Amino acid sequence: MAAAARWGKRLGGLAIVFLGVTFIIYLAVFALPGDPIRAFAGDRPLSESVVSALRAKYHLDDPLWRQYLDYLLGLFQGDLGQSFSGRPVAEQLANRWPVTVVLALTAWVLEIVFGLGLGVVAALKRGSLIDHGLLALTVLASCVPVFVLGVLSQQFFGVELGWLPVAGVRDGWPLSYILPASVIAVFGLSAVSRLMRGAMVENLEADYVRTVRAHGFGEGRIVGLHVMRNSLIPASTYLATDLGYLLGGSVIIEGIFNLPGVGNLLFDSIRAHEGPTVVGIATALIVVFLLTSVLVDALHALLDPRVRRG
Amino acid sequence: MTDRLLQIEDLCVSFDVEGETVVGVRGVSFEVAAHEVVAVVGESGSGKTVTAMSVLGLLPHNASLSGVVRLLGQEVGRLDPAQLRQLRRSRVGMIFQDPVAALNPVFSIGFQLSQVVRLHQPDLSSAQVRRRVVELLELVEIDQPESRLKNYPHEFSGGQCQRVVIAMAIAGWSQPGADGSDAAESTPQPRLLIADEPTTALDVTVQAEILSVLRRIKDQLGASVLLITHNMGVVADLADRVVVMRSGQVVEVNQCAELFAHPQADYTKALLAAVPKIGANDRPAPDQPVILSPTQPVIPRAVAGSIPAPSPTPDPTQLVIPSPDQPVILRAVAGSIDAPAPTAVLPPTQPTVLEVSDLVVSYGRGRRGRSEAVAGVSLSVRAGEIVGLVGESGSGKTTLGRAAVGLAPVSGGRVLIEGQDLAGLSRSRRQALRRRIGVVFQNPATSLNPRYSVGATVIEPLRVLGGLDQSAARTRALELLEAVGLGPDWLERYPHELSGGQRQRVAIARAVALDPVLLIADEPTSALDVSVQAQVLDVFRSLQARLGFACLFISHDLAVVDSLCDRVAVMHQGRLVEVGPRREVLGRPQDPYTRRLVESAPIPDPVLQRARRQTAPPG
Repeated sequence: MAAAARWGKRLGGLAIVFLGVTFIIYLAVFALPGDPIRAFAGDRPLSESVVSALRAKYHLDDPLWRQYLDYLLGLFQGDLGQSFSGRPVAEQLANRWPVTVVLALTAWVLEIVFGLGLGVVAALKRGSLIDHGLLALTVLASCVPVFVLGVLSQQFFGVELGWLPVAGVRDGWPLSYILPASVIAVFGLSAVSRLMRGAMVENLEADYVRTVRAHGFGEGRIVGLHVMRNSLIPASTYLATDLGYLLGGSVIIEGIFNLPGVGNLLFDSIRAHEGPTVVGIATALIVVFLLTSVLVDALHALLDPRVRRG
Repeated sequence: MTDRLLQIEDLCVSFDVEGETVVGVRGVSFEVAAHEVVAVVGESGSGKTVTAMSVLGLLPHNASLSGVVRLLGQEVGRLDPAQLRQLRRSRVGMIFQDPVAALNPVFSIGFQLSQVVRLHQPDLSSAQVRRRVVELLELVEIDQPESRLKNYPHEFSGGQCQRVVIAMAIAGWSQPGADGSDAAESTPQPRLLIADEPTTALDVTVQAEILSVLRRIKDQLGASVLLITHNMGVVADLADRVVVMRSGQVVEVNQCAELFAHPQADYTKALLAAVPKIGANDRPAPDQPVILSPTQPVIPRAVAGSIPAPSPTPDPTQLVIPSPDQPVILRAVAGSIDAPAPTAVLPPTQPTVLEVSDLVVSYGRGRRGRSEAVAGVSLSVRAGEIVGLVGESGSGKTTLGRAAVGLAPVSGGRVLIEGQDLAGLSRSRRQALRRRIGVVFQNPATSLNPRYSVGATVIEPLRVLGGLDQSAARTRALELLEAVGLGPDWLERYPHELSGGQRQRVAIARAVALDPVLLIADEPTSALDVSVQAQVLDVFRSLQARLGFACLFISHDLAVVDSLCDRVAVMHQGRLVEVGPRREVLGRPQDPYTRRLVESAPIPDPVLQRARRQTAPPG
């Protein structure tokens, strides 16, 4: 009962955030300099009558709030609108998103496996050479910009060693995705391993660990059950949030590796003044973000009974 | 061998702290025999917890140990990890100071107890494990244990958590047969419970309950107890023999009654003298400050990870109380320096400084969520008067103190400071009024800004609020620090370089910097050792006598309140249950709750305490 009320409240809050953010994006996109009709036409001169016909077709002369309302109405009917080039935005997204989803999930799994793993190792060997080495490595890795890392890895693994394709998705999963996913994962992986190490070290010193140790439990159970379970809370919260970020696609990585994902689509659409497509993508991304935030809350409540109530 | 459960011989423990060796315990020897309660007492840094930890080999990694710890005939230092685990699983249990932290927050207590039961009896069925868990919870007197198995530690109070921790510690002890017969009926095996400050984090009535659980375990299960504590009342209540520790060494080992009646070591005498006792104030010469022998240095902190306190130039164990012929340094002195000790009843001519009437403070929203922390309290404090506000955690005493400064949302009633209602004033008038109130909080480690030196801490209010220029503020700050017993050398030091007592002196100096008419002191000495507490209380007393501020002294310690206050107000569940002159409230409590509170506080005298327990068993 109380839980249902709480989730109702939470979803109501999400709806307000959704309306606010989509409106801001709508506003921002239509405030962009340049005329979409002219951009669409390119160099060809358009007659006054064609321009006004096109403007009428896309409701460009309506006041902004009216356009936004129309857009929202369409949205609730499952219609993300149409680009100026005449293709439905939903279809464009459906074509591009799978690439991004595969890339994101690959990177995410790398973050989980290596991030948590390195964090646990560093915590168990705290103060040792391994710990210090991992610290240096993760700090270094998170300092290097992704495009530098991307280009360097292309050069090394793609061109010089020739192990992996340099760009494109022609080789499919996993070959085409390993390099870009690893490059994306490096940043999140460093953060996850630092978080995990910190939480583990803190929990290893905690009073309740001393209690179970005093009972004579073995180290395997102490670390594997008690310490891990508590230490996973911060890292998993970060990982869940990061999934939302990854699913949004990366303009830079998809550009460097020439992957036809959402990031690429977004970049092309902004350049082409395709307002409807940009708004459509942004809307979809917001929904993904809001859903992951719900996921984070649910996960947190699942892992930490102190957060549960009612 | 069974006669001596635990033998400690010449135990030395040192810690490697960033390349430096810090000695925690040097040459400690004592024994615990079967069915015996041995208390190890001492102040923080005395090495008592380190000694207890070394018994089960629970010292941190940076510790190195020499000497012999023989537990149940096995030498702890020579065991490999597997043997050590086996020893920990045997007839030894340990309970800790912070019971809430001692339980894993993400597992239900049912799970945590069952895993310990399974550890000892791996072949029990789940139903049998469950029955055993319920039985253990009944043994430690948890109400309706069946319904609480699914609850998590944060859903229990501190006292209940400590009961659960005790249940876990003794889970492997009485092995019930198939017919459920108790092992206590057959010849009890020797067992040892190590209790490290088991009641320190708990309220006094809860403490009494936990002590009775411990006593029951000792009697029913035939256990010996190694009790680590700083509370002489707890020692008097429970211990057979007492080991007094200081600076990592044993100062005295004595039978409990003998120790209280005829302490041998000077340190023991000073320690016992520093313990505040209810009723002590009624004897002649109540204001005799208790000063530990000045030739002895301050107890160095020698726990792993701590930095040794810098040796202060002015000995902080000596109180620097300016003599009357010094220039008067503080404004508005209401009463001369050699003012008589405050009497229980003040002349009614003194103006009322703090007037709280029908105060209601509530938190939360909604129908069910709203809770009243303070539910209709009326109280007044007159100039020059110290009113003690006592109660247990959750009684609303701190909230009342906060409301008096305007830091808590007042939802009903009024708070008047010198006749003015904080709530009804404009922002600037309210700030001006707040300047006339000083506040001292419980934990000086967190209430002082770690980035501000002592000087900056005291100078800040003088410059910003008092409008003094830098040199005048500095002069004044020096005077204030001197008044709390800290010389000019302390000006440049930072809070982390100070001991707890020194920090609290700084906090007091800052609080009285603007010459307040009212001082709210919220548990100012609870975080301090008894001897340090005695010093800080002396500073407090002399400052109050000189400056004549009205004081609301919030505390859970009846003996401290008794030694300091003129009147006492007792709070329970947001309400005031009793107010009156100190002697009446604490000497002849009328309200049943006050009576329970007074009776729960163990008297630091084994003869009196045992006599009292026999006449009126707690609970």
